[in-house]
Amino acid sequence: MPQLGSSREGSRLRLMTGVSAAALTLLSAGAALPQTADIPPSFGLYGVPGLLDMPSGETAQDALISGSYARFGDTNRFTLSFQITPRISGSFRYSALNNFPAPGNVDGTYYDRSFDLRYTILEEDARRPGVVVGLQDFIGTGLYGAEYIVATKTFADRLRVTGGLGWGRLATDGSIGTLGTRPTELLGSGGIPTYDRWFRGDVAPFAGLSYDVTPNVTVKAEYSNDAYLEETTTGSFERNSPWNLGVDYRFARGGQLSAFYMYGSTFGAMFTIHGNPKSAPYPGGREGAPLPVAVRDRADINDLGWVADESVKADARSTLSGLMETDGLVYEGLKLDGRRAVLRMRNPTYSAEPQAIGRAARAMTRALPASVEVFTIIPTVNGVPSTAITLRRSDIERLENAPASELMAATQITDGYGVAPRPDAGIYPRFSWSIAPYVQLSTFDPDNPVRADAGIRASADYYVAPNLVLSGAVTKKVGGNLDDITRVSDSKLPKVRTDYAKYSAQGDPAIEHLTVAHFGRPGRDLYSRVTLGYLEGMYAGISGELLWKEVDSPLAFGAELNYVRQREFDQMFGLQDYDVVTGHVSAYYDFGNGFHGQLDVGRYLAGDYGATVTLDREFANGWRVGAYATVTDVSSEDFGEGSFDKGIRVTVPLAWSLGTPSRTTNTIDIKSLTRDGGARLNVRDRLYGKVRDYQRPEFDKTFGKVWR
Amino acid sequence: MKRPLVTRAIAPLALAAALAACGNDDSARQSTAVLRNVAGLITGGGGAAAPAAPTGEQVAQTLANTDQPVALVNLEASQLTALLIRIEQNGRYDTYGSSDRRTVTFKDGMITASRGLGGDLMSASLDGSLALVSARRAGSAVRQMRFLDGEDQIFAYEFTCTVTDNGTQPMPGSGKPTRKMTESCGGDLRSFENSYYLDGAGDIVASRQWMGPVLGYVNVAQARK
Repeated sequence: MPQLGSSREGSRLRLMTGVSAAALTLLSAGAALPQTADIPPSFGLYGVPGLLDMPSGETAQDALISGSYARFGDTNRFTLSFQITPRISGSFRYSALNNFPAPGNVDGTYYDRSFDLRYTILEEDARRPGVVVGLQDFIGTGLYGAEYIVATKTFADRLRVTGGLGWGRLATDGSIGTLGTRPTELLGSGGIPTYDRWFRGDVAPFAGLSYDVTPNVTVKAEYSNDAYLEETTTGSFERNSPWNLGVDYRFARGGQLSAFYMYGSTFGAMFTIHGNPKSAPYPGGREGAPLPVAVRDRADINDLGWVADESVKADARSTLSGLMETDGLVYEGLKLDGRRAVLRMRNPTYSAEPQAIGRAARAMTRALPASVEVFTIIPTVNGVPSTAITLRRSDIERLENAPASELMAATQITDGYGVAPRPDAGIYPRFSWSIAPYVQLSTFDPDNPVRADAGIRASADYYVAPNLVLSGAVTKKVGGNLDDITRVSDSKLPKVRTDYAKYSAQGDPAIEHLTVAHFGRPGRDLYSRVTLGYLEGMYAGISGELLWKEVDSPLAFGAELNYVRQREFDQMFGLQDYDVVTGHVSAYYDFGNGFHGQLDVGRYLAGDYGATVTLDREFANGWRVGAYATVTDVSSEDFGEGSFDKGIRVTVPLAWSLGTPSRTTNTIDIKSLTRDGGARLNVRDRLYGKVRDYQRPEFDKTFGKVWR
Repeated sequence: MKRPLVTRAIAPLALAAALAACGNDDSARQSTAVLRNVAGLITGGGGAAAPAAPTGEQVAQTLANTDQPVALVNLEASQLTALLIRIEQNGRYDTYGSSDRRTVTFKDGMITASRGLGGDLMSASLDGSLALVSARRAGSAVRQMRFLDGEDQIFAYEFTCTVTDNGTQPMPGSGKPTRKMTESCGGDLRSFENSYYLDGAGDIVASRQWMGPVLGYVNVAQARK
């Protein structure tokens, strides 16, 4: 089941904000586009740069995310595309063919999911055309399966001429030759790259023109080599002509509205919306100003008369605590000597961690006696000290109006293990709670484009000590249709994930989780977690994790071991018979060029052994777009449709969408299918993502916000 | 099941949006803020009106309540006008702030930074222009202005500027005789022109300065220097 998650400091919840944030993202990022002066190329009906049904040799701007919906006749296509690197792009497409009684149809509608990859061989310049090679529907059942190579050249800034060669579906009409034979049977149980077909079989040319009548209006014409064989035989589509005509209207905010006349028989329309994680709706954020640095009077710098005076220290603590609270930071403790101060704090507010450190440091300049020259700030993560960030007060005074890079050069980052003061008395135990609406969404599953449950969630956390927390959440459904999933699992494995409809139907109200968790620092560069209780909606048990991460290393290793038992479908306190020992060893690596990789090797929930590879493109502002695949020792026949587990995920930081500081992020997880093979436990508060925030290289990426 | 797709998808979302969050944990509230924001974008509502400009009385009152320098600042793009009081000094840099946590930092009258305005100028290096303007001398200089981009990373614009002396001109607003200096800057993608009005002591008492691609021009008049 494709899921929507939302994670934040201290908890994880599934919420609809992922989708709304994504919608907001596209709408508001559209607003930011004209600033960049980079207008995306015209998109075609497959939701990639193209004419109408035919692709073009144009390439979208790096990191552009585009969503489009096209409809003509009985064909509906929803496509999400991402320009992964300046040359590589990927697309996910969900199509619905009405009046198409193919096997697997639902009330006459056939749903199909497909993935594309495009690679720009040549970027267009004054002399040569842009050339793109593409794999269309390269995983899966192959309804849209095709490969192409296409070139586009622009003349006089207005006229674009496109020509290309297609294979597969893009050679079903007007074939000019044949390259080997193209197999038709599926590899495994589908869901495996169809490499045996690529660039094989018939070859056919296609071509087209587009012309900008005004900067906002483009007319297009193409010659299509797609015969629409399935649509005309299984469906009732009429293909009377290979010629298609269309017109695009481009909105000032970056959206594209298109209308077209297809195959001499039908009219259609399409809407495309673009957004780019690199251009925020509110660059730099809308939050209030920080307090400026208070520069010391030179005469006071050597005055150490206060050191024995406890009332001066108490005043400093209470002033600092008040100033930090105004800035959304939580003071937890302070060790104060004549020349040095060590602050222990919590940052529940800023997703750009240097901003939190910069604000804490400025509050210290306003609160601490003038003789204190060295500030060490130790933010806690899960209640345990993480990194120690050390700054000289004279540098803070001197560099307040200088580029942030100068302060970065003067900042020391070391492990905070054993350095942090204990929290002041009276801060713990601490209780926090919230009652809020939630929406749990399942999108693009094989039988239905959108399912959702909505309701109320009450959650509470009781911190017995900073690093020992009792936590629980209860949901009550108000409405929805997640439970009317009728698809019966044909998996030959224990049903570790495919009973989700039963959980949705019977879990009302449901205890989402009820746990006690302990976090620790067993040693230098080491972080630990033990969680006990009802860990997630479907499993209860015990989970332990250990992470090794050096302060300035792009590489980290982790190990997790869990013993869990399946919960009753009503999601109350009862347990079923199925139990399993599951766990992984993990390696994490920040490649330094915006890409991050993760490898997990271990035993999955159904007792299967294997590995998960995850690759994300990460943006400094917290956006992530990634893909993962899990291969285990389960055969593709036993796994069922899809052959192995894989998916894509998009994380949108709330701060980016709202322009106000927030550590909440929303993750949209689009899985090809939820099956029982390669399934992992969804335990909360996994360590790596939180620990790395205050460490290099992650911390440095947003250091520009230290003075914001 | 036969309801249109859109209704099925939107109904639970609308329900969630209608419910407010409560608790002592802020992140739940932020999630509902997103919903309202989306609703605002779709319906076109939710835009805050610009606050009214301070009246002469308010200026007088502010001056009476503080002995610090006071500046009247007007952002041309958003038509936001506010009275800012100097709240801190760091060497030659003066930071002026409003009660709603917006600040503008000047180096001897030239804007080097802002905070809390949205699309803030993070820092600027403009000593060359500043030396020319303060000395009321024509010449050319280089200035750098730094901003945060959508990825929260610093980018810098570099400009080459020509400073010219426009002689004695009335100060905008008060009409007092001042010396007007103009700084015309050009860079890779943009150009702008700043005007400074200097009093007899050589201090900038009024100005029109460019603060970046988002904020545009700002007018500053020193109510008390």
